[in-house]
Amino acid sequence: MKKINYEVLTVAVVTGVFAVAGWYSIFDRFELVEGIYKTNDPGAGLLPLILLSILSISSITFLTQIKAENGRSLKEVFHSANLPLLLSILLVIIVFLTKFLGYLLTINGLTILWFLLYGKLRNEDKKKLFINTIFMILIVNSVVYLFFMKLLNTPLP
Amino acid sequence: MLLERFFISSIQILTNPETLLLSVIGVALGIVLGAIPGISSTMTLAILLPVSFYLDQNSAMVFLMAVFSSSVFGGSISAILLNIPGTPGAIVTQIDGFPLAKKGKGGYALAYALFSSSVGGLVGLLILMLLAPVIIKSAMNFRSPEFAAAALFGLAMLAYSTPGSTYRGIVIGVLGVILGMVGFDNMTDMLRFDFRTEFLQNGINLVPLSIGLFGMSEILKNIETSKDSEKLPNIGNIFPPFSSVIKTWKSIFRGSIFGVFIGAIPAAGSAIAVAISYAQEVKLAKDKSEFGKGDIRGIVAPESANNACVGGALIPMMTLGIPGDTMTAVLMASLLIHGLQPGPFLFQNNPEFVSVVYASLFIAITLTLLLGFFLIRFIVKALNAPTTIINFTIIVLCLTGSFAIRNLISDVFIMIFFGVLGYLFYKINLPTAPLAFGLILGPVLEENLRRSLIISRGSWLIFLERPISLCLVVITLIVLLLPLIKFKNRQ
Repeated sequence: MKKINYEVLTVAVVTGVFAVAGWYSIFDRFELVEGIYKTNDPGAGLLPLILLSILSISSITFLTQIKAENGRSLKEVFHSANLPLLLSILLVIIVFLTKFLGYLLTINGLTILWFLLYGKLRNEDKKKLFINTIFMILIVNSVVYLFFMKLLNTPLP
Repeated sequence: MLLERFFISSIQILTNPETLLLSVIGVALGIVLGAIPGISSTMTLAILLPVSFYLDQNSAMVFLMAVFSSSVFGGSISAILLNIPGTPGAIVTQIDGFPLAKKGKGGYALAYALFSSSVGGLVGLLILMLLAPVIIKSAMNFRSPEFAAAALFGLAMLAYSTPGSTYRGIVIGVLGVILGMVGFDNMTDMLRFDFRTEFLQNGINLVPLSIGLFGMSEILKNIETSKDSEKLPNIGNIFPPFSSVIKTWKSIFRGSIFGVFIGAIPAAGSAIAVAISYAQEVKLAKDKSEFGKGDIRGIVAPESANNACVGGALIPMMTLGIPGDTMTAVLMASLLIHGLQPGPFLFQNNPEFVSVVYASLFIAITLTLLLGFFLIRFIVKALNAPTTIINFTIIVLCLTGSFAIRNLISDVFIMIFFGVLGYLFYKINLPTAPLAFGLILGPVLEENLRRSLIISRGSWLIFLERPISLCLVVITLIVLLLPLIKFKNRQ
């Protein structure tokens, strides 16, 4: 029996989201499309129009292919994605906070938070986890900080 | 003239303590990082890219070439010792390398890999130096229609070589070209895809995109299943008898030739080159019984092919401005940021820089051979490090490095966005490389397409009226239609 292939469905959604955003942006600046072939120059809107059309047609084509004999379920497609997703969210929050708290505090905070969460989710040995966290803070984070701040003169917040 | 400039540049690099030190550091970092499973050569190059912005263009090239060339060999170390290829190009090395390591002859296997890598790299460089002027001669006749057709050809080749579906490769390439249009249009100064936000008006910087796509997304993949690898066995002696090394010259030569020519095909990649060279080696061998059990020929042929690909991939990048693989795409990003546009005019306007590229690669290959032997034992220790520490170190480098490019927090957000996007693409079997290629080749394609249409007063026939562009358009069409024909035939 045919069932929904969530892999193809996600491909269709991802390409569709980019296509819709692209069309919105094009019509938001309608002068781009108006300018096509007004002079000898085909204009800044020609290639975006062609490419967005290809992207939109592709998205629709993917949508027509979502039913398959061996369709992958949503769980199969996104298996083991919890940790990467968690880290990505953490990174966004930490980078946002860097503006207010500064580099050193946030990067070390992230290190502690990540190793705690990672250890809990993976049932890691507590002693090993503690040593790894201390190593990261004292050696790795400090070396990276000193390298960029002192050697490359990067004005880290 | 070319040789003279090459020697002068080599001597200048070697006698300047700063460039020599950069080369040594680049080689050491390339070998060590390339050896760690989960850190590919492209990723190594991407995370070290921000460092090059603090250097002048020549020093930056010395450093990046050192990382570029040595990380390719680094990838083979984990393939031999852990049975996990550090880079796609080392995927075949493990077939015969790992059985040797299990027999306690890992040191020998690494030494053969190092020697053949260096010879392959030198053959690749030699052919690059010989072929580039010939290609440049015809490329000097390139005008806008040819450049547009060449960019289209590059994108089509990448889509075709993408593992899995060519169609998906095309779609992601198209998306990459669209992303390359974000911000001000170079020809009219009109804004596109900016969503009326200041954030997007300057366009999407290639470097945070590369770090996200090739660095952070790889780490997100790694942490899905990361487990500390088992302690490595003793690698034994690392200096095999010289006479046995010399006996392998035929395999090394064949591998090098395959590597350089396959590497020169835009987007063909080292994985294809090593697979073909290994298959040929097995086919030509009289005694095939040892293949898969630790035959030295099964190590030296793919290893020389893998490293010859470096020179091969530089041929289309340097002469036509089309990256040969993802590594040259990242390298090209660095050149563009330093205000250098690879292509025929680079040879005409900046011949000194071209000789610096050649000399940097030559020194990097030589240093890899010398330092490789000293670093092998240290790398074995590094490979025993906990993967959680390695992964998190890369995350810290990605965050800090992407900020350091322009000192903008927005670049860090762009890096995270593309890191997550790259990971999502991995989960749904979409290729990531065409996105970066599209972003690089998109502006070349658009600018030259529009110039061509202005010249022809809007007639698209201009692409068919000129012989070179006609050839490129026909090859592009064949490349794009080939999967469709194959699919029809299968039905």
